[in-house]
Amino acid sequence: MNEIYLWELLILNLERSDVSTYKCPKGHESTELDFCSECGTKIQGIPELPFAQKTISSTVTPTKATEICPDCSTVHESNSGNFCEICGYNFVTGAHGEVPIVKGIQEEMATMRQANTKDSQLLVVGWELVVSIDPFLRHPESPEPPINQPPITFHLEQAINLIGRNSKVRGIHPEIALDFDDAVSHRHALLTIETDNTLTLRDIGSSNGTQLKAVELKPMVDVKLQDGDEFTLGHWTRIAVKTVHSVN
Amino acid sequence: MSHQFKAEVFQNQYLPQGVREVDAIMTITVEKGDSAIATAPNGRLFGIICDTSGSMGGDKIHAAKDAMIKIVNLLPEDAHFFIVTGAGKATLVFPVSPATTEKKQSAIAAIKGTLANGGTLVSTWLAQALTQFQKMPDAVRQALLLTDGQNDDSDEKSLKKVLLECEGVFQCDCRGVGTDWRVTQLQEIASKLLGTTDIIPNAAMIETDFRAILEKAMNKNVSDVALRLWTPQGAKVLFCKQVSPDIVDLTHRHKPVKPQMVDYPTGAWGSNESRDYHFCIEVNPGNIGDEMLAGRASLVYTLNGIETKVAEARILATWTDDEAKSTKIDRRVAHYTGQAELAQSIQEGLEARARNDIELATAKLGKAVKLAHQSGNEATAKLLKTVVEVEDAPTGTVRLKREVAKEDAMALETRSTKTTRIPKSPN
Repeated sequence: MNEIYLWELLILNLERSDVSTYKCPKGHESTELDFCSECGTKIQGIPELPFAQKTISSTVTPTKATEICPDCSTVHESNSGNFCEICGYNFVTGAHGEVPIVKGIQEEMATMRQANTKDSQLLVVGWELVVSIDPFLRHPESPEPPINQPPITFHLEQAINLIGRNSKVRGIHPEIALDFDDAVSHRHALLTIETDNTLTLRDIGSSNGTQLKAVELKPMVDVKLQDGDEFTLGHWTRIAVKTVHSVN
Repeated sequence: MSHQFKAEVFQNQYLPQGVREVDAIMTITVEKGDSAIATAPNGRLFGIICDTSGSMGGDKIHAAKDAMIKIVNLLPEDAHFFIVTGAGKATLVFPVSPATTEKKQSAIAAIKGTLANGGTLVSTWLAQALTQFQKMPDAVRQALLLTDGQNDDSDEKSLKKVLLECEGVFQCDCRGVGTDWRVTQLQEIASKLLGTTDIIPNAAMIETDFRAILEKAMNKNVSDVALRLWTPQGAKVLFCKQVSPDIVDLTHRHKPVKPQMVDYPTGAWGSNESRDYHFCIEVNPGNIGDEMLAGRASLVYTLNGIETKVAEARILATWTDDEAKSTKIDRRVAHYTGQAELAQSIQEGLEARARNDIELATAKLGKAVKLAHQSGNEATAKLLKTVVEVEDAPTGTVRLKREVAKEDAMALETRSTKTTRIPKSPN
């Protein structure tokens, strides 16, 4: 008796898994309810309805430091750019890299991609900066960095934000004041939130320059920043850029 | 089917950051159900394959014939059986028949008429047995192969080919009488055909051994059970071994089912049988706090062409920065890792001894004594004592014995893969 009951359960299970799938946190369609049948990631919460899955895109949680490429399962570090280093998968748009896409699905993918980008932009409601001291950036002639200085988080509340140092004499009061690092110019750089909610950085002719991914920025030229980007300035200041999302 | 398969996984799922290997021991037990014991629904077929080459002449062939007659008499009425004898070629002494009283009588008469002469070409014997087993493809199929000598070297290629054909068609236990047979040869056959290998040191002991094999075979109720393993994308199975009751490496025996899913053969299962398997899976590393499924293992059996899943267990991986959690090794994983090391030390020690490399042999066998002592594997410890003088078991201080009976060394070699279990206790 007991066993017949078990079989029925099993059959029910099989039938159910045929008709519906469960959304894995990494974007796979899982045939299993508990762990993703593709990548093994734990699936939490109630299974979503199949039609709802297409509109709620997979690019909702880019706050993690690393993620797994859904195309080739390589580990991808968010701060190493938007593309998978192995197959070229685009983590922002969901576009495939080297892996061939089956015809027919292609069109569907394209529409989904558009929906995805729209969604992810709508979800970005702001930007924040995490300023930290990185002793490894120190030049031999620089003074010793302050120790035990915890990272400072700035919420960008205005459209245009000045990075610099306070100066009473010159009447400069930057939004992002880095007074602890005297190699930062009083008027060093500008961070601008554009109308489409993207963020740009412009070095405004600082004395010691600004580096984005170890590349010196050209003064007075705008560069677009992505979530997870980091730039450095002064003696030993490192600034990480993060998007702020609305709570789902 | 009134038998309940139960699968349990023992592991430490906590891994430190960056670690990719997940170890787990899975215990599979068949428990009797509530209802009456169901016998194998499609019957059982037991095949006897007996060496009748020239070397078997004298006592051995008499003992073997006596043992075969006794076995035939012991066969339950609802079973089927056949008898093949082999030398330079195979002879079908008695084809597949139900074990009725009349059939048994005529089979016994046929056994009495067999003579020992000729060479040894095991491939021909297996080929003949194969055609017999193919007559009852849905029954529980078990063979017993008895030989006393080495297979002819010219047979090596044909044997490999025949073994491939037999794989999955029937299971075969192999027994060597005396000390003139080669352990590796019989082990090759037995492991391909999911059977055991053992030594019968003298002919008088054939009967007891045969009885035990028959009893075990008649206890089997479900055949063709596969161990199905699902692994996540990008994962690699580093090994899959049966570790209890003995060590059988299944890593390279897998058959792909679909992407990310493979089947390992486990053969037939009887009631109240319990086996342990050790999986080692390499997965993509996760971040601290991530929890993922590293493997989903299930047992699947095929009856009348219908696949049925009978038990399932999950192998997990959780990354943590809590060293108190991640540095623990599951005691079963540790135990079986030790048992595998024990078997390997014995094999390497005996090989070194055969090469007269006394220093290495002493070191390896000393290590084996230490491991057998630590894990409480008394059967193996006892066998080791026939080969070495143990001065201090806890430290593995041993001296090689000058005079070792060949049968003792062979018994140690064939039984070195037998493992012990650790007593059940709450973790």
